[in-house]
Amino acid sequence: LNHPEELLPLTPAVFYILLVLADGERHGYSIMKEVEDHSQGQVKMGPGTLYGSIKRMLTSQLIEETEADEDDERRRYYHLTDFGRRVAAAEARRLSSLVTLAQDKKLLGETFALKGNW
Amino acid sequence: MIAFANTLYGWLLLAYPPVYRRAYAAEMSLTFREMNRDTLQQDGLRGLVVLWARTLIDYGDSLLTAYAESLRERNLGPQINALIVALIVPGVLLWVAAFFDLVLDSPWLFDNIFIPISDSAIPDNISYGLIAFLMPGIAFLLSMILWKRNRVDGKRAYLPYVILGISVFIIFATAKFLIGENLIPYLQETF
Repeated sequence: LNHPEELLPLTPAVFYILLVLADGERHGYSIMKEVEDHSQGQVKMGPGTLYGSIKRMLTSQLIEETEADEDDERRRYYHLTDFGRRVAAAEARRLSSLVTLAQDKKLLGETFALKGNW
Repeated sequence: MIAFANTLYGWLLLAYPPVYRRAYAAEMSLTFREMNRDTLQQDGLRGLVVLWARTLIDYGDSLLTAYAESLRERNLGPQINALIVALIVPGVLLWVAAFFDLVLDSPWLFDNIFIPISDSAIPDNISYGLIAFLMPGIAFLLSMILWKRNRVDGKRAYLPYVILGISVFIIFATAKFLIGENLIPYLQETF
């Protein structure tokens, strides 16, 4: 397997999928809905984006497929691998350091009002 | 209406590369059905229309990505580049010939390159239609796929942009010329 840092930065879709799967296995539509909830509706994935990301994540061994649903063979469940968890943690650390930098620059916690200064 | 949308989406999924389609089409179709069901319950018909528009954009984007990845997996990049060039060269040549003939009054390219086409068994309007629209159109699609592949790989490459520009020029310039000057009758008169 690659070193986790080699896969960074992750796309928002991939990172959100990893975050959702950190809670346990999910099927595609469930992932899609949770991503939308977690992002307050900012990330809305269609089936194409979702399964394209899942395909790439399977190839990179970030996630694995579990057995198909007994009731519906079309429905497959996915779970995070140990490597996927380490990649998600590495991405979280990367983003956290960016947030710390933004705090140091006093870009957070301030109210920016656009006033007509031109 | 939802049943029709589900069926239509099922047909659209047939356009994905075979390996991708076999692995994910059934699941994508199931997900789309569930999205339709939940959106209708929560947001009504208006929500459905928004969902379909979003899904259509997602479909086009992911289709290009799927082909881009398929090309990469099969290592077909150089062959596709060669095919694009082969498709676009006749269109460029047609416009160079038109420029020389119309502006410089030198029909050498038409006389030596395009008359053999005109003399072939294929009717003029079909052969020039192929050169002016269909071939640049396919080159345009292929270069979109290459552009997408480069984006997926995080590479910078300028060839897809150049090809996109040339293809769009040939298609639109020919279309404008056909409307404005009526290119095909002009070409037929020339020969």
